[in-house]
Amino acid sequence: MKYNLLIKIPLILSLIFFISCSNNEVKHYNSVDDKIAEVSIDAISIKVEDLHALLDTADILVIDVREGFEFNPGYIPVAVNIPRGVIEFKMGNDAFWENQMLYPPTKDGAIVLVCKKGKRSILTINALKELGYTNVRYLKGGFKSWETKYPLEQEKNLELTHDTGEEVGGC
Amino acid sequence: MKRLLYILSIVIIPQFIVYMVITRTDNQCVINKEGPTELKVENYTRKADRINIMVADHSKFEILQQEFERPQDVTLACLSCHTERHHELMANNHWTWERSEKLAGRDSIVSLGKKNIINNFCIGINGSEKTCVRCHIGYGWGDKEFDFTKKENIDCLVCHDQSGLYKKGKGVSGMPVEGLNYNIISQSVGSPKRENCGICHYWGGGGNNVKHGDLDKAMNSCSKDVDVHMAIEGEDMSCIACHTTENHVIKGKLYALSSEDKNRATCEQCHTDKPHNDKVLNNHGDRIACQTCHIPEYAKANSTKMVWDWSTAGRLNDDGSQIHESDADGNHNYLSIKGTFVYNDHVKPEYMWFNGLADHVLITDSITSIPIQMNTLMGSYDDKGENCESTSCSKIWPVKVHRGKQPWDPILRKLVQPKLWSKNKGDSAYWVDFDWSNSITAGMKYTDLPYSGEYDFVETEMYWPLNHQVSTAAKALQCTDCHTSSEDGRLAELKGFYLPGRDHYDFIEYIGILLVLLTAAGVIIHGGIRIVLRKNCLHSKEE
Repeated sequence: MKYNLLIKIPLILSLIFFISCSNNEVKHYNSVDDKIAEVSIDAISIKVEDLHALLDTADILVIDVREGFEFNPGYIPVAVNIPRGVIEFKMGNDAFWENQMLYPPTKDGAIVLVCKKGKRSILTINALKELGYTNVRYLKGGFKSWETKYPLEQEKNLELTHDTGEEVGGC
Repeated sequence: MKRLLYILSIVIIPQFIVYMVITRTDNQCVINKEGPTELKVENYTRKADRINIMVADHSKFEILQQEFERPQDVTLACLSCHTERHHELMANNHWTWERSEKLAGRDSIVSLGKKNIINNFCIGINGSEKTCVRCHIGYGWGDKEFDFTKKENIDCLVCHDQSGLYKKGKGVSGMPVEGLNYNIISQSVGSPKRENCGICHYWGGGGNNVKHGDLDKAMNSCSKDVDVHMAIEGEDMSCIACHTTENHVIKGKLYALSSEDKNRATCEQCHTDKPHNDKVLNNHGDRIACQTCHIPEYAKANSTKMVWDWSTAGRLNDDGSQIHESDADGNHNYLSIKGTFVYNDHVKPEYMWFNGLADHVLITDSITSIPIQMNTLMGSYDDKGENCESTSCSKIWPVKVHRGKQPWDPILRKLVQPKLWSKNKGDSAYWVDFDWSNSITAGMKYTDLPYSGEYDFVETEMYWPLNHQVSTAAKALQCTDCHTSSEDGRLAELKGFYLPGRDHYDFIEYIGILLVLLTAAGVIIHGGIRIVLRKNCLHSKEE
């Protein structure tokens, strides 16, 4: 009897220890950066140089998930603006894509998400994966990275922007 | 029975160790994020112990109650009591805009400063002095004829005004705007505050935080998230707390514009060269500048200019008016007079070896490589110990790199100085006439330098070592920010030396794996033999 207990107790404790490790509850993060750090482990990125090269050769859909007021002053040519808040509703919306004069994205089609610096894109990847889109990447460093590397290769919707006026300062 | 307990312990203990390893966060190395120990501080009076030293009440002085017709008269009034101060000021770089420098890698000593340096922002002041000298501590520098020996031309107020009313005008050779009340202004004077220094050091290059990236108007009143030293709720340090000044000699030099490693304002002034309680961290100071870990990002409050491409300048509206376009954050990304810009905020620095010495491209230099390095920071991993090339060996520094495209002479292979500013059309100034050929011809003629008559645009880079916008210890870089094999590691691009955690030697790693396998095999073989022979052992014991 005593001998049996000596075997069972450690094994049961061991089992409890590992069962307690599995976590089915909603995970809480201290900050959005902590969440991004965890989500980014599974998120696949693409560098600006690679995207630049691919745009000329590959069939790739670039979705800019920034808000319209951020998109209009400057965006990657060919990018479609779908703010992060409505992306799930637009992806399968034929009328939206017709309005963009594009075919709706296929589930296995190549998609690259762009935002200002990459964080919002990382958080958006899971939303698309959950809708069945399997080939989604994000632009590393976001539009700021593109703009720094290719400052003259961007488009603007100037009619939708409001300029602040003359530059001030020392010169 | 004891043997059974041992076996079960062997089952649980490894599980526990594995659990601890897989749940270990990245930052659990040397540094305790929650409760960092305070850095050592010497030669510094804490805010709580500071005594507010009042300057004399200047409103009582009769000489400052006279009716001033010109700002120069204020200067003469100042000098009537503060006699001989003008000698100190006239020797100061803020007045001369040049100093003798031995450029690293060259034998000759040159006179170098804002007066004649070429940069990749507004290029240079020659021919455009009337507007550029808005940041000169003088009155009337409009052209080469300015008299640097005339003491009444010193502008005392730009540094010492505490009324907040004093302001220099645009395009008026450093003169103040019209309509100032010099009685109120001159009677308010005191030691320079952040606003006095910032009016030029924040706004250089044509806008707030354009040049440095770590000097921003937000630092006039900031939180610890922007700068731990200057935070209003923290130590609330002024610029001159570090840039200590005696007889108008100010400690500290702009790294991007200085070539010799002297008269630096350093962290060690107060924090000593062993500021941490942890020996490993202190040892890092041998090859890592304090700034590298403690300035993990810059432009924390407002964006800084990262790219300036002059080649697109000159596009105008159909009616001939100038174009202003802004990015999503409200920073200009196109101006007819200046071309295309890219701004960014919360920027991660680039990292370079730097020993305090630098070279600078002079307008007379022939260009040998492109992109042109407007300033070259000297240093390398091998610059250490007995091989030190300067008084301080090379350390890894955080740097803002400003990339540009600016006019040059492709025939003579030299940078050029265009004339940019004029009040009037037809004066060959680019910002008015939008004609590069005329403006470069006029600028080169003004500087008495040859110009082939042909121009093009060339890529440039300028390096700005970072010193301000220091983070709290909790937000400083952690071990794994650098000691990682990830391509996102802070030092991923800094090659040529072995960095633990980043670099791998296959040979050594294979030996390590082999040792682990041999150890495991030894354990299994040994254990197997014990199990096989167990019966005999037990029997022998029982016997």
